Amino acid sequence: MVSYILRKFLHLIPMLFVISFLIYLGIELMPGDAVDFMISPDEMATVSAEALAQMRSTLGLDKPFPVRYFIWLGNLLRGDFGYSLQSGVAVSTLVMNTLPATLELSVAALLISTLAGSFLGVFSALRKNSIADNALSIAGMIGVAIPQFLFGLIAIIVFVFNLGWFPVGGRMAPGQEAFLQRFEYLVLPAIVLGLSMTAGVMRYSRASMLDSLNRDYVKTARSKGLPEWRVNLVHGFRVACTPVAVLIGFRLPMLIGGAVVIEQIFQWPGLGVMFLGAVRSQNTPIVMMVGFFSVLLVLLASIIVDILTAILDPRIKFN
Amino acid sequence: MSSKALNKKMDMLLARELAGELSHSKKSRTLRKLHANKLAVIGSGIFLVILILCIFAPLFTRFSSTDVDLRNRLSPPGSVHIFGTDQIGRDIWARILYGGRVSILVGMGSAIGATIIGVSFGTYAGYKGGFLDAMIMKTSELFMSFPQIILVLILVTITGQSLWNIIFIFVLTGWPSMYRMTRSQMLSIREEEYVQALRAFGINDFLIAFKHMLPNAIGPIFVNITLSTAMFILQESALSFLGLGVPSNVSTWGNVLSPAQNITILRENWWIWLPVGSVLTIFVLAINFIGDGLRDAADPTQIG
Amino acid sequence: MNTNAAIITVKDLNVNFYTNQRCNRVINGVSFEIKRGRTLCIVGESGCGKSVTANAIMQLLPELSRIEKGSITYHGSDGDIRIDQLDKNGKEMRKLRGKDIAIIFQDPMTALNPVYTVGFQINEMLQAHNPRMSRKSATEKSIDLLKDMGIPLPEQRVNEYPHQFSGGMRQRSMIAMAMACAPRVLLADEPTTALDVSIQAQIFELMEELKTKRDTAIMLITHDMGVVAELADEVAVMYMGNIVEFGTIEDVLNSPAHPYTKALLKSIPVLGKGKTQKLDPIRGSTPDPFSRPKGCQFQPRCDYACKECEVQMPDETLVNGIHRVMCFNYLEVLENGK
Repeated sequence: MVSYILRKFLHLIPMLFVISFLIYLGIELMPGDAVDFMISPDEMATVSAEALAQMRSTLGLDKPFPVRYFIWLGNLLRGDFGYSLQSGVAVSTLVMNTLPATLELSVAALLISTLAGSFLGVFSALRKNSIADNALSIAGMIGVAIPQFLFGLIAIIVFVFNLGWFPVGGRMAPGQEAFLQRFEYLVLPAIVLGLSMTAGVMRYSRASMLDSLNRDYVKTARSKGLPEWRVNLVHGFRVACTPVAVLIGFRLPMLIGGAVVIEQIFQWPGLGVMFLGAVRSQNTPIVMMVGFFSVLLVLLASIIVDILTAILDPRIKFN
Repeated sequence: MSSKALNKKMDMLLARELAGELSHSKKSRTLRKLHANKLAVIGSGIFLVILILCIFAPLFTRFSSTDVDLRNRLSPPGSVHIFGTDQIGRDIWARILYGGRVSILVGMGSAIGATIIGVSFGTYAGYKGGFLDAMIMKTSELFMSFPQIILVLILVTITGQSLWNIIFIFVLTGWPSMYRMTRSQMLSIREEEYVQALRAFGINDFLIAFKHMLPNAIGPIFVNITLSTAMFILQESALSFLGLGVPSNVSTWGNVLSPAQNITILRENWWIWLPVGSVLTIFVLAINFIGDGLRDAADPTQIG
Repeated sequence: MNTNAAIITVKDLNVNFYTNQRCNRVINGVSFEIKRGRTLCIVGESGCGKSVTANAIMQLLPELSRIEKGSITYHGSDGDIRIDQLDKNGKEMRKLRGKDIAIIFQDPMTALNPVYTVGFQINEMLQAHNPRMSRKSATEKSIDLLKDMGIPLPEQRVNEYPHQFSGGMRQRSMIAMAMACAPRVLLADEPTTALDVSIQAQIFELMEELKTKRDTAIMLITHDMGVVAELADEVAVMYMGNIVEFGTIEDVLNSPAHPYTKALLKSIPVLGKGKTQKLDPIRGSTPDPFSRPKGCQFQPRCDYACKECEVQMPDETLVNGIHRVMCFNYLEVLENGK
């Protein structure tokens, strides 16, 4: 199993290589060069033209493009991601400051959508064509059709303004560092982001549960005289789990994308808000590095999904 | 379904069968199933109504979507402005109709563009396999490892905001899933014997792939076109809502919704976001109904 | 107790399917008995209702179907049980399934759950009917069962997944599972159709052994007349939802009284007769269940058809002993055979 995971990581390398190249291409294509990204604007004013030329040559910026790329890549590996064009703060610092908030929101939403989605999907499948099933299907269809931001706005109006259950936005009031204190800030955005993903998970787990229930092994299980709950859950659901896990893995990019929108609406101080700000102000280094990180997250998640699938389905071997 | 209801349904079917009322329908199976799917019929109806309202917008409103009327700012729905006006006095109803034109254009245009590219690559590469296929496959993997909205926004920073750039970006980010779907269809069709036979006759690859194999994969492709249209409309609205999509001087559903980012407007001027939000949701819902109906109709394994 | 006592009696069974918004009368009045220590073979082409009969006995019919008429009675050790009146997945039915009546399905590739070990799936059967059995003793019993079924290295195999088994071994594990609680009746629904011919013989040998050693009643569904000749004590020939002919193996093979049986026997190539043998395939094709012919279902394909056949389905007529047939002209058929 360890070698399986290692091999999966090795497979990532060429992909990351190409993506980092594209990201670098993106940075290069934009006005300004690496020196502009590496020296904060404040410092820039005090640096003379000769010193800049000197710097360019020590950084190898007068060298041909491929060489420059490898220098940049080397910096990347050493944790030097460049600097924000506006504030001059290191991109790595900005990412480290915002990443925890985004992870917190995404993981909470992932949990909500996985649990609620698979539960409702299985429930629907077991009560196929009942009133509850039809109601859930319609709710699911609306859930897929309603724009996430609109759903978020409606949730704010209802639960923040009308009912006053949750604070307006943000992640914590000043001084509230402990998770439990800021929990009330997390609930609404996590539920909104989670529920907007739930519809898809629900529809898919209903379909794969129905598919599983139609298989012969379910009939075999029934022919053994097992009680219905055991037939449905131990045999039907257990097999339906694998495709649902795979689907959830494939939807992780959507979760991150959704987080961008939801963070903006709830003023959640995460990667997404920073990213949108950078896009608005053409802050290329940040845009590109957040892009790079999101790819990294997605690829890591896909490895986790592969491992999970291999654990869930004995037919897939670890070698 | 409860066993009682089920039994009743069976009794009914039995009675009708005995009376000889049920017989084989001559209509195409796909059409029949599509017709039997009430939601798909309702969806098509709503889709057409909204489409016609938008295309013939001037017939349904005397206002333009861009005329600013500063004396009538934020006026609530009334007899003149049936859905009220926005913060600079533009008529909301007119903006919904004209905005629909652009939103639907973006959605359908991008979906069709992505389909043309994805399907042609998928058909030929899926049939030929080999190096070309491996290359395109890798490229699609590359695109798909980005969260879509982030890739779109990266491209927006590079190309800048404009209507055609948005469509271009959507096509660029949308073709990989089309490609993969078509490719997997082609891979299974490739195994069928008639393809071997055609190959044995020495018919050229393009003809085999596009004339003889592609039509057999057309069902899922159409399903995908509808579903991606819905997805692109949603994406456009989200981008424009955030102020990063189609430039704000052009009306689109997302741009019309955009003022709702302001908390005061959100709380006090519901007519700015609720009608357009509902139209958007209903339209996307209608397209999804059509897509689901097509999917069920095209899927031969579905009984019902 | 009579050694040839019936364990299951099926009387005038009617089953309808209601898929596709249509009603398909799959079984129209089927009656037979399954007897202790005997093998009843049901033969017929696909779609004639053989498997549906077996599933009806186990109450495993699909959702959109039901038993319309007739009775299925299980003559248990504590009195008769009307299976058709039991709640489909209720407690009483569950108690019968696996413990008293077990079933083996056609395709061992799909009949075992891919995500559980073979041992787990046999244990499940054992523990469902012996709640007090520990997991350890259940596993020991499973190993014994696998060993009985001739699976090599059962201690190791018991912890393996179905995909690690070959088709024949999977079917043997299915039989091991079916025999786990020593059921009195074994329903085998084309158990060898998906397997190699060489493995087929081994599976049948196993079943034969069960019959003689444990006195199990067997109902074997097949479309293969060769298998029938090999294993059957009694034979029921089904066509379009009816048992058109029923009798002992000698009755049916030596003096077929129904034109369909006769045609079936004629259409089988005989090994060793060489290339020159003349085969007579049955002309025409199986009718569409939704536009059935009037009268006798076989009439459009029958060489003996008369006016009467187009008007109504013939009743069952007793030829002699237990040999019965549904044909107006059976005497002619019998005569012709000699």
